Amino acid sequence: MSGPAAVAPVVAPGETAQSLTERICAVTLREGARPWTPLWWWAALAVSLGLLGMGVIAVGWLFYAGLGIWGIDWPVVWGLDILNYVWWIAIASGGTFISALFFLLGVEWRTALNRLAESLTLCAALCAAIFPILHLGRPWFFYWLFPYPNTMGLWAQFRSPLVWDFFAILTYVLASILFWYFGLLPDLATLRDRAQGQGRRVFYGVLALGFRGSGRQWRHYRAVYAVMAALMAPLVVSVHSIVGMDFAGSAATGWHSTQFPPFFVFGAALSGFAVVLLAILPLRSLLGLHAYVTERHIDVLGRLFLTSSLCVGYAYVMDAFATFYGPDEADRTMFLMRVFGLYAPVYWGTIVLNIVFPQLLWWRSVRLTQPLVWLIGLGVLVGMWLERFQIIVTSLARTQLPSTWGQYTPTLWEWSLLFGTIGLFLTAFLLIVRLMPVVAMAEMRAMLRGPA
Amino acid sequence: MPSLEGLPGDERDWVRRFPHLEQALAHPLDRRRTLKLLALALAGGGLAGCDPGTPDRGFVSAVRAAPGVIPGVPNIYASAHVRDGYAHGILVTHQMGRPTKVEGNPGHPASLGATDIFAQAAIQDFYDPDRASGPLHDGMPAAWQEVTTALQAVRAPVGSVPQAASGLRILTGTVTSPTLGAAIDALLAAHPGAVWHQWDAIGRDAARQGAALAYGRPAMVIPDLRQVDVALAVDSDLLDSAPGHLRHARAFAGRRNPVQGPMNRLYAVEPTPSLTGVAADHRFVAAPAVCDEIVGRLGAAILHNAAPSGGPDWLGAVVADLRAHPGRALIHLGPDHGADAHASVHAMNEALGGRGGAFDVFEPPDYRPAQPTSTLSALMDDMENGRVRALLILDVNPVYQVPRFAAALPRVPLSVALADRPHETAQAARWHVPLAHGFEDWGDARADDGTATILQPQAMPLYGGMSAVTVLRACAGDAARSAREQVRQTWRERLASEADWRAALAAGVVPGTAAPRLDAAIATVLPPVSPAGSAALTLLLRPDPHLWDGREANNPWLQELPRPLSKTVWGNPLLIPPELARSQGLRNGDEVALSVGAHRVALPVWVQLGQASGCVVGLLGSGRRHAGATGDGVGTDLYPLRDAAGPVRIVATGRTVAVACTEHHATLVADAPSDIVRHGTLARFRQDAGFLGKMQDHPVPAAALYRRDPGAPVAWGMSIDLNACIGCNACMTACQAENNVPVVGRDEVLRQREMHWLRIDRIYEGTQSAPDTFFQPMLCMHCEQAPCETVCPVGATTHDSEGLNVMVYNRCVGTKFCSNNCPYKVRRFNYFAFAEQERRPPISRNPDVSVRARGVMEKCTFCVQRIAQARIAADRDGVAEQVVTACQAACPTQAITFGDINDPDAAVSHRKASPLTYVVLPEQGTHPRVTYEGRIRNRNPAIEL
Amino acid sequence: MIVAAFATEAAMREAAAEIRRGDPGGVETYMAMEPDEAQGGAEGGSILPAVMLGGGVAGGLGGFLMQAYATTISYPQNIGGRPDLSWPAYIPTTFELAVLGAVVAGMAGFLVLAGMPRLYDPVDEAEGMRAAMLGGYVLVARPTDAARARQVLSRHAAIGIEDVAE
Repeated sequence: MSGPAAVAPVVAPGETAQSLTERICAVTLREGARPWTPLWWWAALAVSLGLLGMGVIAVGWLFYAGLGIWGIDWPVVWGLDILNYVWWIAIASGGTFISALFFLLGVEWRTALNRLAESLTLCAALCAAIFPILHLGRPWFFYWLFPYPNTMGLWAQFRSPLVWDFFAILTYVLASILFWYFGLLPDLATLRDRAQGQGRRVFYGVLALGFRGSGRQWRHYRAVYAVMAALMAPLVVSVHSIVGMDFAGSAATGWHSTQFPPFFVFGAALSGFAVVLLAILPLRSLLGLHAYVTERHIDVLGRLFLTSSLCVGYAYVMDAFATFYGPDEADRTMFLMRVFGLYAPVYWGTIVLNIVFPQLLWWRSVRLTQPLVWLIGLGVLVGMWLERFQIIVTSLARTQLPSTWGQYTPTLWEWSLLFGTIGLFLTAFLLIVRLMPVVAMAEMRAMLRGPA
Repeated sequence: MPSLEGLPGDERDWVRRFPHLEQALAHPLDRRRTLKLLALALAGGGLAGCDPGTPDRGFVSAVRAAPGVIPGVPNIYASAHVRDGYAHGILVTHQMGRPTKVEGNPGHPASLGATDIFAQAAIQDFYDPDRASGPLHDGMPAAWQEVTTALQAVRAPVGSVPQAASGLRILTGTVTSPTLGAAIDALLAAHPGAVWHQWDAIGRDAARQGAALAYGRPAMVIPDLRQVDVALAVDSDLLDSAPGHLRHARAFAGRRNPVQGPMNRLYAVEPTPSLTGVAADHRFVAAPAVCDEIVGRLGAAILHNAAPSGGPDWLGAVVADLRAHPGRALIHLGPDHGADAHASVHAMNEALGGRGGAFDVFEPPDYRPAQPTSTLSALMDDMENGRVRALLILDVNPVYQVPRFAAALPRVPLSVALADRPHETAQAARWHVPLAHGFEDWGDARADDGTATILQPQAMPLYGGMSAVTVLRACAGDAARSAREQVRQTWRERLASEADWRAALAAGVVPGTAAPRLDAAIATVLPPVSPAGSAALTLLLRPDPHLWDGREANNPWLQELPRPLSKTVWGNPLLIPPELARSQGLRNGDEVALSVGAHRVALPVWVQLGQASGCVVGLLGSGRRHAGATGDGVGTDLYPLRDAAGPVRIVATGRTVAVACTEHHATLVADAPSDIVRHGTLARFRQDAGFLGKMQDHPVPAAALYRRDPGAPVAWGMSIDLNACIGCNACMTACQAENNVPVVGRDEVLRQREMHWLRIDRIYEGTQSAPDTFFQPMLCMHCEQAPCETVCPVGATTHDSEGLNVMVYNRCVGTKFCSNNCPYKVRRFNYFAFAEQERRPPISRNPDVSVRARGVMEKCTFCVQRIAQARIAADRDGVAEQVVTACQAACPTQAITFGDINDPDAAVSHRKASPLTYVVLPEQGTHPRVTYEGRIRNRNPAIEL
Repeated sequence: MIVAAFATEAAMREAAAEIRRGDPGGVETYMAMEPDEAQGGAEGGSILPAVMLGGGVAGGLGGFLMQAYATTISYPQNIGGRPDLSWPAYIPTTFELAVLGAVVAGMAGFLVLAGMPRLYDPVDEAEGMRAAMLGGYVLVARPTDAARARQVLSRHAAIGIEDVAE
C-alpha cells in the first residue's frame, strides 16, 4: 500500500485500552443512559419485525399450500428460492473474508471491523440456511439429506452437489457461529465484569462461560483462534465454490462451466464487502465508532470493493468468452437471450450495478464520500441479486431443446419471502448490535498496546 | 309433477342438481324433521355403499371378487368406441371389475390394435361426474316410470297437430348399428309418416353425396394406402379423422421408413396445417377456394389428358408423378369441399387406375345412407312450420350446434332428448332421458369398412341411463325387451350358436361382416367443379381436433391435450396466418372481434405458421354452455358463425386474453440446434444411408469417463421412428390414462405446469408462411449416464438393473434439481396435489400406478408396471410376455418400438440398428435408451423447394 | 490465595516469574488481552492445534469412509452409471467435514483445557479480579510461602494485595 491511505491511522489518536473499553461497553450496556435503548434502534427493529412477520406468513402459507404458490414452473423449477439462497450466502462471506483472511494476513485494520463483519456473516448465513429447506417440495422431509441410513438402509446420495451444499452450509454456519462466539468470549467476560445490574451480569456471565483472562486460557485461546481463522479462510472459499458447483455440476445451459466456483467466490467477496460497507457506514455514526472505524477503513474497504468488482467483471467477460469460444449452440442462444431477450434489463442491470458504478471507487475522494459509497454498495447488493436472477432464471428458461423454453415471473409470495429474510437479517443483526460488543475489545486492546 | 315455476331461483337450481330435494321441499320443515331427514340421508349413504346388486344380472358385492376377477390381475373385454357412427374396435382393461384403460383391438380393421385420442379418453367420459343422473321433465327431476309413459306418448297425437303431418321425427347422428337401425325402422313402421333424420354436426355429407354422384348410388370409397405409391391429399383429413383413419395412418406409415421398404410419396395441399399435411413430403399452402380450383385443374389434366395450365408451378410435376404411377396413385379430398369436387376426385382416381388396389368402392356401412329429404334443414323447416309434434333427439346436440334449431325447438310440443348429460339440447327439450354410456349397455356398430362389432357392457350404469335402442323400444311400447336381447336378435342369424356369439364378443368383431365390394361404374358425366367464391378473408370453421364437435368439452384429458400444431389447450383461439398477424399488428393472445355478416364474437388469436394468407381458422366445439363443470365456458362458441352469411372481418378489440399453450418458445426457431430432429431427403439417404448419424452439431465425447452396463439380462430400450409419427397425440392420452397423469387446468398450464410425461414436440424450420414441421415424441430417455440421478441428494431417482431410470416418489423431497439437470426436460414437478383436484373418482385410476403426492417430481417410467406384470406372468407361466408400453400400444403408426435391447432378435434391436438411428443431444453424454430414427422425405426432384 | 493487581503487564509478569521460581505453588496471571509475545508472554505452547489437526483428520477421514461405506457396502446403487466408489464426488463433503471436525475439536478442546465453562471460581471473591477483564493486570498466587510471595509482590509494585479464602 502506498499513498496517503497507508499512513492514515487505524485508530484515532489518543485512544487507550481504557477509553476503548469504556466506550464500547457503554454502547452495549448503556447503563445510566436515557433512553436506555436508542430510538433509532427501536424504529429499525419495528421495521425489521414487520418484514419478518411478512416472511413468517409467507412461510406458513407455503407450508400449507405448497410450492405452487410460487411462480416457479416448468422448466424454471428454481426461482427466487435458490436465488435468495445464493444471494444471502454470498453476503455472508464478507464477514469471513475480513475476519479470517485478513487475520491470517496480519492486517491490523481488520480488528475494528471483524466483530460487526462476523455478525453480518451469521445473520446472512441464517437467512441463507432456511432456503434449502423452503425450496423443497416436501420440506418436512428435509432431514433425508442428513448422512444417516434410513429404515430401508438408504443413505443420502453423496454424489449430489446438493449434499455437498448441505455439508458446506452446515459446516459454514456452525464454524461461523463458533468462530464468532469464540472471539466474543473475552468481550463477554469484560461485559460481565463491567455490568452493574444483576441480570446483565448473569446474562453475560453465563455467555462468557467463565472466561477470566488467565494465562492458561489466553495461551489456548490464541492457538485455537489462529487455527480457526486459518480454517475459516479456505472454508469460505470452499462454500462458495460448492454453491458454484450447485450450478456447474448441472448440465443446464449457462451453468455447466468450470469457472463457476471461482466466479461465485468473486461474487461472494463483492457482495460481502458491499454489505459490510452498508452496515458500517451508518453504524459508525449511530454507535459513535469514529475513533475505531476511521476513514482509513472506509478507504481500504472501498479498494477491496473495487478489486472484487474487477474480479467479477473478469468473470463476466470470461463467461461471455467461453460461451462463444465453446461449441454449444444452445449456450450461445441462451446467452444472446440473456443479453438481448426478455430478461435483458436484468443482465444490463447486473453489469451496470456490479461493474460500472463501482469504477467510481478508483477516486479516493469518491471512496471517502460515504453516502456515495453507501449507494454503490446498495447498488451492488441489488446487482448481485440480479446476477443470480440471470444465472438461474435465464439459464433454465433457455435450455437445449427449444420446445422446453419457458419463462418465470415471481409471485407476491416469493417477494414476501425475500423481504421476510431481509427482516430476519435486520432483526438478528439489530439484536446482536444491541446486546453484543460491536468492536472486538480484547483484540483492540492488544493492538493499542502497539509494537513494543 | 309440480313445475319449477313456483320455486325461487336458488331452489330451482338446487332441485335441478339434487332431484330428491324437490320431494323434501314439498313438506314444511321443522327441526325434528330436518334431523330425521339428515339421519336418513346418512343411513342411506351407508346403504348405497353396499351395492345391493341387481338380481337379474347376478352382480355381487366386491367384497368377494366376482367369478373370473382376480385382485391385481386385469380382465380385458372387447368392445368398440363409436364416433359419428363409425366403430373402432377397442379392448377395455378392467381392474377388479372396473374399466380403467382402453386399448385398440388388433383384430378390428379400423383399429389394428391402435386407438385415437377419443377412444383413449373414453375412460374419462365414462366416469364423468357431470353425466346425467336421472330424467328431467321441463328441467325438473322426473321418475323413470314417467319417462316410459312419456316415450309411449311420442306416438300419440298431441294437441291440434294433424296426424297426417307426419308428426313424429327422429333425429340421430350417422347410424351404422344394425340393432339401432332396426329399432328405428320398427318405430317408423309402427307410425307411418314418421321421418328419421340423420345429421352430424361435423358431417361428411359432401363426401357421401360426392360418392353417390360419382357412382350413381351410395358408396363408400376406401383407400388402401399400402398399395399407393403416390398420393395427393387436398385439404384432406385422411390420417387424422377420416373414417378408418387409424388404418390409413398405419398403412401410410408402413411405407415411410426407407430402411423398412420402399417409400411412398405424399403431396398435400391445404389451407391450414393438418396432420396429413405435416406428414407429407411436399406440403403446399393454398386457400380453400384455390384448393377447389386445383381440383378443377387436376380434373382437366387427368380426366381430359390436358396439360395442366395455370395454377401453381408444382401442379404439373404432381400430375406427372401421379400419372407415372398408374394403379398406384391416389387423390384424396377433405370433407369440407363440395360434392361435385368429390365426384370429380373419384373420377380422377378411376382414371388413375387405382380401383381394386389403391382404393376400392364398397357398400356404405351406414344402416341407411342419409337422404336429401331427411336432412336437418328439412327437419328445421318442418319444425318452424309446426309440422313436428314429437321429436326424438338421440345423442346429438343440435341446440348447441345449430342456432336455428334452438329457435325452432320450442315449437315442438313433445321433444325428448336422449343425452349423456343435461347439455344444451337436453335442457331445451321437454324431456331429457339420460343416455347410457357405450360401456353400460349392449349395442353394435360398424367400422367404415362395414365390419360389425358387438358392444358389450363393461359395467353397471354408473348413474342410470338408457341406451338408444331401449328408448326406441320403449317408444314402441316394448320396454320389456332388453338391449341385449335385441342385439342378440340382430345377430341370431349370423351367430346362431352360443359359441359363435361368445367368440364374436370375445374377438370384438363379427366375422364376415365387412361390406361387399360394389361394382358400380363411375358416372361418365359429372357436374363441373363449381369454383368457390373467393373473398378477401375466408373463415374456415373446423372441428376442434380434440373436442371434435364439442362433445368432448367436458373431458379434461382432451381439453388439456395440446392441439397438435398450435399446442394450445383449454380454449380455441382463432388461428390466423403470419401475414395477417403482421399486417394487422396482431400477436398471440390479442383479442379480435370476428364477424360474419351480422354475427360477431370476440376471441383471441393465435398465429398459425403455414396457414394460407387470406384464411383464418376457427375451431368448433368450444364455448359450451352446458357441457359440465370442466367444459362450461371454456373457449368461444363459433357455431353461430357457421350458418351466418356475409363478409368475414376481424377487428382488434385492444384487449388481450391469456391463451394457455404448452410450448412457450417463439414460434419459429431458425437458430435452434438443427440436429434435434434430424431429417433429409430420400435421395440423400440413397447416397449415404448413415448420413443422419453424421449430422452432428457438436463434438461428441468419444468415451465416457465412467461406463457401467446394468447387469441384468434384460435391458429395456425404445426406438421412435420419426418417419412414422404423425403427431396424433394418441400416445399422450394413453400415457395419461395408464399412468394416472393428472390434469392441471387452464390456470396452471398458463403457469407452465402441465404434467404430461410424454409430450410431442412440434418443431418448425424454414419460413413462416410454409415451414417444415416436425413432430418428435419426447419422454424420459432413460439415460445410462443419467444426469438427473447424480444430482438427487436423496437417491430418489436411480437406475435399476434393467437400465430403467426409476423415480422413487416416496423418497423424493422435491429439490427439483433433477429437472434442471435433465437436458430433455421430461420431468414434471407436482406443484399442487393435482391428482386430488381432479374431477374423477378414485376408482377410475390405474391401481398399478401410484398417484403422486404434492411436491414430488414425476416422469415416464417406461410403464414399469407393465414390465412388472410381464415379469410376474413370466415367473408364473414360464413364458416371456412381450412388454408393450401404453404409448406404443396406442400408436396408430407403430412409431414406437419398445423392448429388450440385449435381445438381438427383438424388434427394438432391429430398429436401433437402422442407419437412421440417432440420439437427441448426444453431446450431453447421457447415452439415452431412447433413440430416434430420423425423418426421411421422399421429395420429388422435379419440384423446386 | 493472594490476589494482586498491577499497573503494567511487565510488572505482573516479572512478579509472577519471580514467585514461580522457588515456589512450587501455582501462580496464574489474568489480563484482558492476549499476553504480549514480544514481552515474552507466550509462555509454553498449546496442544490444541494438534488436537484440531486430529479433529480435522478424524472428520475428513470419517466423512470419506462414511461416504465410501454408504455407497459401496451399505447400499450400493447405480446412480447415473457412476462407479460405486465415486471418490472425486466425495471430496467436497470430506473437506467440509474435516473443517467441521477441526473447529469442533478446537472449541471442545479449548473448553476442556481452559477449564470452561466455570461460572464460579474462588478467585472471583477477590475485589481485584473485577479489573482483570477491564484492562487491569491481576496475579493470583497460591504460594506455599505466603510471606515471600507478598514480599515479591510488593517489590514489583503491586497496587492492591488481597488474601482470599480458597
